[in-house]
Amino acid sequence: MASLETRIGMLHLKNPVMPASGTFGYGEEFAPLFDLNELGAIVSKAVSLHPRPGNLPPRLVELKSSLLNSIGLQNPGAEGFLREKIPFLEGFEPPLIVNVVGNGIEEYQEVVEKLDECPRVDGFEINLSCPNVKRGLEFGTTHSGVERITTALRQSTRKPLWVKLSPNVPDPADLGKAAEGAGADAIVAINTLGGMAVDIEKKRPILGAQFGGVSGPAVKPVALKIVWNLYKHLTIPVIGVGGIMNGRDAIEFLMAGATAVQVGTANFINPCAMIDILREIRSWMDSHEVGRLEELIGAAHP
Amino acid sequence: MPHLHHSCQEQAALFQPVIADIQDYSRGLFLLALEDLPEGFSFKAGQFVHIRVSSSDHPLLRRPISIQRVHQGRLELLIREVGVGTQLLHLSKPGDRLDVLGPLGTAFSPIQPGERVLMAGGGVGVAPLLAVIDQAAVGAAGDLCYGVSTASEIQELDPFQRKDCFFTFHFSTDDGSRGHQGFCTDVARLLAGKQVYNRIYTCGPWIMMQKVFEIACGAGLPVEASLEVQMGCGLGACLGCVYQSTDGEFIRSCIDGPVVDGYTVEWERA
Repeated sequence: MASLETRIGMLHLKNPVMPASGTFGYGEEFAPLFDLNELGAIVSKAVSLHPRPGNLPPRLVELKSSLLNSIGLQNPGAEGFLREKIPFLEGFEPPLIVNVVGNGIEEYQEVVEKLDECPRVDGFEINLSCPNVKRGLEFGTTHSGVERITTALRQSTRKPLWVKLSPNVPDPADLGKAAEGAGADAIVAINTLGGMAVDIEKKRPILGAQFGGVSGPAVKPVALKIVWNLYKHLTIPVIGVGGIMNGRDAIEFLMAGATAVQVGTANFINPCAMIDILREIRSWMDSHEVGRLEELIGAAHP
Repeated sequence: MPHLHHSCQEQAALFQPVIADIQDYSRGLFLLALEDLPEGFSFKAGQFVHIRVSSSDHPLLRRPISIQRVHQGRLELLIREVGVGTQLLHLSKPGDRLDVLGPLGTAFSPIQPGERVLMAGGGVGVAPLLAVIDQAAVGAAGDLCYGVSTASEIQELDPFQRKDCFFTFHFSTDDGSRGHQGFCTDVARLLAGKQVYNRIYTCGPWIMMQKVFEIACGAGLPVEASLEVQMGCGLGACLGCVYQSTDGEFIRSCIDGPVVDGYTVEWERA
């Protein structure tokens, strides 16, 4: 049977499938439905220094083959995360990557340093790109911004540091290079695409926060191209995310250059999506006589 | 936190039942009966199932539907065709399989023997209230103000005529074709004035539930309301279905609801 093992820097994952931050909470809600130990890694919902209430509703708009959301990083804060969520997560084996957000470099550093001491935390995913928080974009959109924050956080932890990029920039690969140069262990691409929807009867934006992020099957080609370019220009691993609904989608990302994949919106439609995707990848590899996952990574590049 | 009964998400299962029967009422209202449920499937009145309506990417999200009854291995759901998702459900045929997640969410407080509860349901909103009657303890009592547009929307109610309880149905229709001509809240207001109730339960359009809340305030009674908000995952993970409580907190309608203490809801909204 095919081996799905993959490696992100110093982290060994038994398979390449993990949740996209914000679509899986902290795992508790899905635990009754499947064994979280089946996952390659667990990526938490964003954690900020202090609790955040999130954005005013409505927070979701269902679009054709996509979803517009403006949750606004509602979370219990770093202390709350350690107190309320870590005990549950200690019951599972997959590496835990904590998605971190902040209002400034100092806040990102404070969160990382607070969580760095927790042995259950295996790494950090730096959210530089959430379209639902104004300040997030400031760091995430310029070469020097990404460089500065990655450099600072590299000093705050020796654990794996992943940088999650925004697609809402002219040249994501350039930002990937900035993160790589500043010591990031991997790049996660992509976050949601900025978007909005209008209620034509009320003559107002539908989302309480006006703007949100678009995810789901419709964004897959955008994400694939960015992953492709990052793979071409970087040496550190790329984790692909954007509209993966099934095993074939995941294999597309692997062939475009992703070393692992994150599944987001699909978790809302099928809570066992990640397990189904894993099974589909495995059976595709078996039927195509692919013995090891790494044979697929970047395979579409000439 | 407006927890009534703690959510029972840990009992939630993902399953693929078969459509046994679709019974049509008027104005896009239909009763969907599903068979081939997981072993021992049960629910608490007020809980819902989250149904995938398309195997393609459109519509993307599941649709939350309150459970009306589980009887002799059949899960019964009262649904109104209001958009593309419910339209697809209506177009499905006996023998088709659906992808169902549930039961999910909070429940109405069960009615105990000797208690009397006033209920007001509008349209498909009667479904979880009929479930309350179905599950009430022997000797429980209450009045259900059943509001629809026209008489042909009223279901066959024999299954809910319990001889071991004391429930009365009070119909109201917009066109006067059955019962009171007007809103079910008109009837509820009169009944509430009798001061014989322990609590009020409601499910229906927001504006209707807001009126029921005002009636409850006027009568000084507790009120439990089943909220209808667009949902994402239905499991409490995405935080997409929140409503704002009176103390400014964002409450997830899928897991902290759909049945919530009416006094915690900010009923006035833009």
